[in-house]
Amino acid sequence: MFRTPRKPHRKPLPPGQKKKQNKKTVSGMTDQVGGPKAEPKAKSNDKSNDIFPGGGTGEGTSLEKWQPLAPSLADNLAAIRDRTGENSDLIIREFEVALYKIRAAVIYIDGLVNNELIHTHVLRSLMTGSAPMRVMEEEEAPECGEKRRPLGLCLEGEDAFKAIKDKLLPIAGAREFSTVDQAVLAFYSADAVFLLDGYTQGLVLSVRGYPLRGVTEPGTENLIRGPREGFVEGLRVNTSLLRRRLRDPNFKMISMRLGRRTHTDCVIAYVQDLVDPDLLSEVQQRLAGIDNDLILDSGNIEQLIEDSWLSPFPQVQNTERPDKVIAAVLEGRVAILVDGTPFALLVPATFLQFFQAGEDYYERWLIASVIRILRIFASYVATFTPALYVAIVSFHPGLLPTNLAMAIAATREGIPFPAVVEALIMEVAFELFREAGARLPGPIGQTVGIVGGLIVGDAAVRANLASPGMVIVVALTALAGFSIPAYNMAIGFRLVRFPLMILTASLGLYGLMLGFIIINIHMVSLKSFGVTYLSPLAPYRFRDWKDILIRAPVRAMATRPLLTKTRQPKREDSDKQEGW
Amino acid sequence: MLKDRITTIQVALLLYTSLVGVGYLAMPRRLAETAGRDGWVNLLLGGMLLLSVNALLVWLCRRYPGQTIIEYSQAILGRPLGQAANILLVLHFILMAASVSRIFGDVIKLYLLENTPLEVILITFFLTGAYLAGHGLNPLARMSEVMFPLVLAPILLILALAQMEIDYGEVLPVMTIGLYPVIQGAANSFFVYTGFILTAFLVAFMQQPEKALKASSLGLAGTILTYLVIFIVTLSSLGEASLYWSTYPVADLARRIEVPGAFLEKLEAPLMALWVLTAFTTMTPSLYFGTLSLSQMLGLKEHRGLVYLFLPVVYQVAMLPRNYGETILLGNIMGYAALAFIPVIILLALVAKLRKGGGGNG
Repeated sequence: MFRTPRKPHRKPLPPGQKKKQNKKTVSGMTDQVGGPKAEPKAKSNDKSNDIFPGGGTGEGTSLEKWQPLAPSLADNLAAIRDRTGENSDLIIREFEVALYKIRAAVIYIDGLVNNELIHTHVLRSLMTGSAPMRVMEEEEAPECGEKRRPLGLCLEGEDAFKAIKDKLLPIAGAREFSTVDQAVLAFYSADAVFLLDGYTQGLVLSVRGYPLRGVTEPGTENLIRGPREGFVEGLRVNTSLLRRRLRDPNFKMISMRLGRRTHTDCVIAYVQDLVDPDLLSEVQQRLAGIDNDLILDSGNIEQLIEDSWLSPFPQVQNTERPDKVIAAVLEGRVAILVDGTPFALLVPATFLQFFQAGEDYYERWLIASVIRILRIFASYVATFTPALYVAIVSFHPGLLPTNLAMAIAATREGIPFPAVVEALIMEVAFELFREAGARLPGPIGQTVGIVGGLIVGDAAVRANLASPGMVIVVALTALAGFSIPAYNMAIGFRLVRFPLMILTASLGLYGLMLGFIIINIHMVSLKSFGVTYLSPLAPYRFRDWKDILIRAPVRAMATRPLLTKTRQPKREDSDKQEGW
Repeated sequence: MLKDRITTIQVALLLYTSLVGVGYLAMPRRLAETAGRDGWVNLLLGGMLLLSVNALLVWLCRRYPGQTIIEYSQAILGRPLGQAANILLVLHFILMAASVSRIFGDVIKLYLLENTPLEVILITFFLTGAYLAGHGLNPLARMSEVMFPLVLAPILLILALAQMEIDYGEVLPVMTIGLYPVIQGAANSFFVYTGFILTAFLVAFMQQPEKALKASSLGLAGTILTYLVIFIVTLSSLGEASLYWSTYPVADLARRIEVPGAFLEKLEAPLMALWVLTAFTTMTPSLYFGTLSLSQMLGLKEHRGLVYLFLPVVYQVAMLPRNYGETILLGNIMGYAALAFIPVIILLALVAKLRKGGGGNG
């Protein structure tokens, strides 16, 4: 805006003095960096680049040996260029800080930052020296002899770096750092890096501004009633969605970086006074144990922290809904949010939690309960119907009333396969249609559905390749599978269906029961972060039963589930509630 | 090995699901064979004996906290005698697993899979049981919790539907044949309570051992009550005479029942399917505790893999009977083995009392 007219009595630093001061600062910094590493530097101060042990090129890439910043800007930029190589999206903008006449540089990745912020708040503030102005009262600065002056700039003996940080850079997020590696990580993480000649410190400026999808309705968990906001790919947007819903100061979000190469930001969210400390440290431990170079989605993390990777059933819940995350953390569970994906993870997860939908809590309890029972029934239908059909048709036709048995036998007349082959063919065909439809864009996907459902189904029946009964069974199975709220759980059931069919084909109803027993054995031995998978069904926790098969009225749910060993079992002051 | 801890409810349910087993299909006939229509008195007397023996057993276990009968029997009787008693125990578990699965295999063959070889049924059954037993005690206890409603469901269903054609007058008159045959029958009928010895192991694993008596008595009382109701309802619906000639009176009862609404023609097959679970929850604990006993006898740290060595023996024993009569005989041997534990337990308790052994508060 304007150059500050520097009056002699303000004693702006003459060039010689400035240099002296800078040197002083540098040596001061050296002491701070301190330790044995700093010593050789003091000896060979003139040799610019070799003063840092291990400060050679390329060697410092290991995270253990981080290369400290050199006092010379040119050296630092060279070191950074050395790290990054030729990258077309890396912008290194060198300029001079007008007020101090010191060289400086802003480094950022084009496209990841908000250019507007860089132009106006970094470059313009520093290059024009346009400090914020205010009207001074005479008595405040009697030596000024004028009413307007820059706000406390360039005082003698002042540290230019500190002054820039405190007075010149109007950017909210500015963290100091002192190594080249931190700088590289920072600008690759969409921050801008500010370096000043003569200082072994720099600033990381939060000027993120990359394109993000707007907050929309979640794609996988649609509700008829309830909040319509879903998570997006930006981690900070997601945490803001959470914070907006839960203003409890005890609601904590810790940050972590995962992925050796992707350096993905993750957030562990929990309510401090509700979460079981053992659970929290277990989550942190498992996350810290991840040593994978690629974390693109919470799914990557899920597979690395789950208890049993051999199980067909998911042991970690995922959701796109902020309200679901809030409900979970208020039960003492822990949520893990990952940058770059709208799916948050919830741990621990028990089997029956996969049948709970957000809507259950927004609808009135009677309706919600009936629907929930319907869903659990659906899971049985999805898993066992084809096997049951095979058992009845090939082993126990006498089970059914004679008329029905005759009717089924009549529809099967002329079909060349045994029931199990027929069932396998039809179920595999259905999976094919589903898979084909899932990858295709919307309108074409519908076409596949119509082709699959109407044409092929009808044709198969007419061609005597499948009986109408089988088509009904497949359709029922598919419907039931889709009515399970959690997609990953539904996949588990669909998978289990096939071995069950084969078991039943060999041993009839007895085989079916054996399959049922084996599934149950697997589930009772499964755990999710120390919580038994089937709890509160096994072991029995009667107090938690009001939210499994039925969803008890809100007033009856004054206690939190015990399964997470929450520290405050009561949701509200029960005395208060009695007054209603 | 003792790091597994189970809850009070789990002890009760584990006992219930272990005891209410394959036996109940044939139980009314076998009671009627010795005591006629007074079989329910047998059950009641046997049940009272069962509860008192169980109380003694719990007292004994509480004296040696954290130890199973395998460990404290050696402490009480000395190593050789104690090990002898333990061998008896292991044999009992082998017999129990074998007899239960043999009866199971026969019934499945009779009602569900006529053409499947018995061997296939038994081997699949054993392997599934070993899969659970190999997971340890906690999953076993949880399994009994999950299965409990499903064990109860067919029984309750039969009993409820049987109420439509029933004449409770069949139970009368009581004790026409005098008291002595009834008492004798009570001893004979003790076979239905085989498996009560599990208490001697379970107390050691309890989270709250002070509730051991309550938990085990609850489980056993539930069993007694279930058997009583089954016997009385079967007797009242079928009549005393048909109890004698029916192999599996409860299955016959299921066959006679007409389902209202008639979606299913015969209730028999689905009931048999659910009954698979009942058999499973009876057989698996004996497999598990058999291997546990064996490993504790031999002083092994890890017992889970041992189940696969245990299985072939059980399988051989289960395949021993050549016909139905011999299967019944196998069951009877098992029943008498269970009965034989009563004097052993009394002996252990007496010696423990006299020697003032054990640190726990008995």
